Amino acid sequence: MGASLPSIVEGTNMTKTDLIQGTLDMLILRVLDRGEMHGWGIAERIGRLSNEVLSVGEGSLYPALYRMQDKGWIASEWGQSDNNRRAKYYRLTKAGQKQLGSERETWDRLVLAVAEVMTSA
Amino acid sequence: MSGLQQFLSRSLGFFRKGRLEAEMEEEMRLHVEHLTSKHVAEGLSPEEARYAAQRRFGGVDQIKEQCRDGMGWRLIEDLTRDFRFGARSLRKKIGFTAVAALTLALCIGANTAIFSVVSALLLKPLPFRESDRIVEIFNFFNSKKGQSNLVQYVDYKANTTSYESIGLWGLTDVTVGSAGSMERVTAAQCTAEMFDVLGVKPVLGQFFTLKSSRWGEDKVVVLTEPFWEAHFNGDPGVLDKKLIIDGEACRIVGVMPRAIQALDARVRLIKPIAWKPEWISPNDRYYLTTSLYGRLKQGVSVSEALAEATAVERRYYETMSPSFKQLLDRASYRIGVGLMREERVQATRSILYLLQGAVVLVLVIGCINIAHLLLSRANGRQGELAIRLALGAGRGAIARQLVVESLILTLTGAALGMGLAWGAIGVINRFSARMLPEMQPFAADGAVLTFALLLSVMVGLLIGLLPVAHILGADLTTLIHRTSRSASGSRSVRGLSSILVTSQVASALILLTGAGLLIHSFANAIAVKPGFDPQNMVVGRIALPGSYENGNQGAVFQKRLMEALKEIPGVSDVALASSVPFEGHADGRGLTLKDRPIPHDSAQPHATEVGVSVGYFQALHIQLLEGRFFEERDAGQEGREYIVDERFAQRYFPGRSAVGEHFTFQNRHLPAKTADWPVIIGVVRNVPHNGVEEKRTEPVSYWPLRSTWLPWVSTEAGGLNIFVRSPRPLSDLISSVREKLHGIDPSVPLFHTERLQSAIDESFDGRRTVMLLLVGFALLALLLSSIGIYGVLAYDVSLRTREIGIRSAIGASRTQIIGMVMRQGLWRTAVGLGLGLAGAVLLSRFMASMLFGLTATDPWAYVSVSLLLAAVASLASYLPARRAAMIDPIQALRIA
Repeated sequence: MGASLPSIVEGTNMTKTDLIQGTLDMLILRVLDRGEMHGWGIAERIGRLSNEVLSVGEGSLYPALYRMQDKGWIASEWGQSDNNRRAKYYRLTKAGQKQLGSERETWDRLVLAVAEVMTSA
Repeated sequence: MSGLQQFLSRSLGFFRKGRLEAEMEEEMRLHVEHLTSKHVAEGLSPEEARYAAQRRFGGVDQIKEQCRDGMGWRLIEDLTRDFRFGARSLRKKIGFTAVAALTLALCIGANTAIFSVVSALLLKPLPFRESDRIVEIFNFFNSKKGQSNLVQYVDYKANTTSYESIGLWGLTDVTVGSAGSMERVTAAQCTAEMFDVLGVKPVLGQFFTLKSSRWGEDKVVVLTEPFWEAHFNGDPGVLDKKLIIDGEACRIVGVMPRAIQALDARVRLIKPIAWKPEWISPNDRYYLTTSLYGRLKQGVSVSEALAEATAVERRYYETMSPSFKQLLDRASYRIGVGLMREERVQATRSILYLLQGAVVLVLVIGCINIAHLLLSRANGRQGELAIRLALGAGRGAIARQLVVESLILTLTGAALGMGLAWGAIGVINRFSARMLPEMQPFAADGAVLTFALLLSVMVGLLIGLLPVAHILGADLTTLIHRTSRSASGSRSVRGLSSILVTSQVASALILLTGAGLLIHSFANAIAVKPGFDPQNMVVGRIALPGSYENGNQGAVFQKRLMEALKEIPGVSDVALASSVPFEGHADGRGLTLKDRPIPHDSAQPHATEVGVSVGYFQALHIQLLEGRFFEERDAGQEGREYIVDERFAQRYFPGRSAVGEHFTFQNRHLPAKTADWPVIIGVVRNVPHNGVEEKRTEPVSYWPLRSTWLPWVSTEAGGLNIFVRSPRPLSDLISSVREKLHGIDPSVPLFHTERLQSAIDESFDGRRTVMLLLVGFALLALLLSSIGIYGVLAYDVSLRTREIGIRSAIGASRTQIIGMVMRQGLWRTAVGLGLGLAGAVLLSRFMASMLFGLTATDPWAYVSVSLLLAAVASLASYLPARRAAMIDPIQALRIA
């Protein structure tokens, strides 16, 4: 399904970097760990935190959000946005926090392993 | 989220879909707005910014689709689409749909209706506490099952350890109320332990106790809930009131819950059985009149209880005289213990299995028809399916759609079938009220509905998967090839439908044979000559209270009654008897013939006894073959005269006259002097007192009704029967009889009045019903399988249009073409007939107990049903053959 394919960083004139499969979920979880946020906010936050290296396309973001909601990692609620518009806010659930923990661990191991290979090979 | 939660939220989400769609839309719009303002902030004009944002966001619908996938709606959505598509394509072929749905409705309806009976009688536990521990104890003489009695009850109560409690239970008709408002109702007579055996609690008050079994202390009664509601409006103040039963005031002590009707639906009142200690005589042990039930102790099995019972009977046997031992041996006596639930349906079990088997066969035949229809339809749609496959539709998707279509079909059929079943259950209940009066009405309850639903889904999947397997088994190129108009397009379909048609014919023949055997049996049964003249004869029952045993009261009553009845204008004959022909349930009793020792290993002679008034034979027009009829002097106190029927005379006095011979039912105390032996004074024509259906027809002996016996006959035989012959209308005559009776003694009730002819007709009810049901199912099977043959051949002809066109173009005659097509149908029929005959032989062995006057290999039945089936199959083959012969070669070749 579309959402599980590597997402492509689109649009800007920055260097394009493919998101490694599955990392989008982790990034969303991480961002929501700070507090609840709407879809646009999540995409913007990931961009800003990565110094605009990572940019999340809408085509990946929303399917991922719906899928994660279906899995019970995140929950959503309608609320008021900063500019006084109705917006759908996502927040982390207990299951989501646990998922974030385990994904972070996996990620750390992966990064270490990749770094090991890249330096010693 | 657990799987269930996920499923629920998905399903709920699916129904809230409209709102969720709108929300999704709004969320994405907001995103685009943010994007636009970002572009504006980066320096684009609002116009350009919006355009850029929209371009970047691109396929909103695509994203939404992916979101929906994320939510797991896809399958549900696809299924709805399949359902809509399926319903639409079924609607388009309304003829096909109607035939298929109607076939399924008949099949599923019949299965459900029969299952409602099977479920109620064979599968469901009785509504009593731990009902699988309730057993019945009974006695077998000559492998005929009999009840038990008081003597055995007392013995078992004292000397067995298998039972938590053990109680007696019998049925009797009683008169409730006094002159003016009398009603005849069915009452149970039981000992107090029966309430523990059944494990029921009173609705009101309490049940009577063992104390009520003492003679004289038994004037208490327990009402059943229905009686309490009908007669006392459910008034709780009914306790301690008096109810007049058979002329005696009985105190109402409690109300029994409705559940008791599961044991016997007729029971309205429950009275204690009471006796005097001196009545318990070992000699009466096998005078079987009452049922003995026990509740097994926890952990005791039926076979353990049986072993104990056998030991108890053995102990009794050892104490008896050699001559009595011999009597028991000759009757191959044995005791039996069985679960109550199973014992009470013993007689109907094989009939129920037969009927359920029959409807399952009908269902199979019907399903084959529909499967074949779907198969040829799918075959015709191969082009469409091939294109869809080529365009990338998954095989799973196509399979799903075909199965959904057949599910829609079966569920529609099931809905109609449930309606039919509901009606059928109503009809069944009308019959069962007469044939199985002890059983409660049947209903389409939860179990039955579940059965119907599961059955339809299973059928839907099966008939849906057949074409699927056929279509999807082939690879794409073959499929596309097949769709080109090649003449011999679908060899595998034709092979498959050959098998289907053959099995249909075989199934239909099995059913037809069963029906044929039953029809022949029925014809045999009603052809039996009754031996008397039922024309214009009316019977009614009266019950004389016990006070008539004293002095000459009975004699006076009998004389006055006979005279009064003869006085009624238009009445030509009047008689009294202890039994009504065709209606009795009199078992044979062992007897001893004078000066005729029985060889050691042969059975004890036995006969039924019927008490009749002097003039009975003349009144019923029963022919005297030898000797003389009863006269007034025979009905005296010391009368020892008997009249026997032809069967008695031929069986026990073969080759010589029975008149003047002696016999006695007092097997253990044979009279010393010849003058004390009862004597046969006449021989009359056979009259089927127990109906013509009796398995081993009992010889009958008649004794003159003595007036002191009238009250005894009234209670023991369920009423004293009066016969009045008159051409007057029934109700008119009955009211005259009632008036006369009232004039003699207003406390004597007249009940259960009917024409003797209807008593005869009713004795065939059971056989008639089973026969009609099986004939109905067999005809349905015949119709469905002829439709099957027709359908297969017609489809075949339509596929071979071009081939047939070529054949006739190069000179095949119409006869040749008709022959060619008909051969297709007839060889399949022939194979089916062969298989069916083999199956029918197997089935008929199972039916042996239902046959009358013929053997299970009755050639008449086999030959006639085979001919019938062959004739119908020929017709079903001829119609498509004729159509094939009419194919115009030019037309056929041009189209092709």
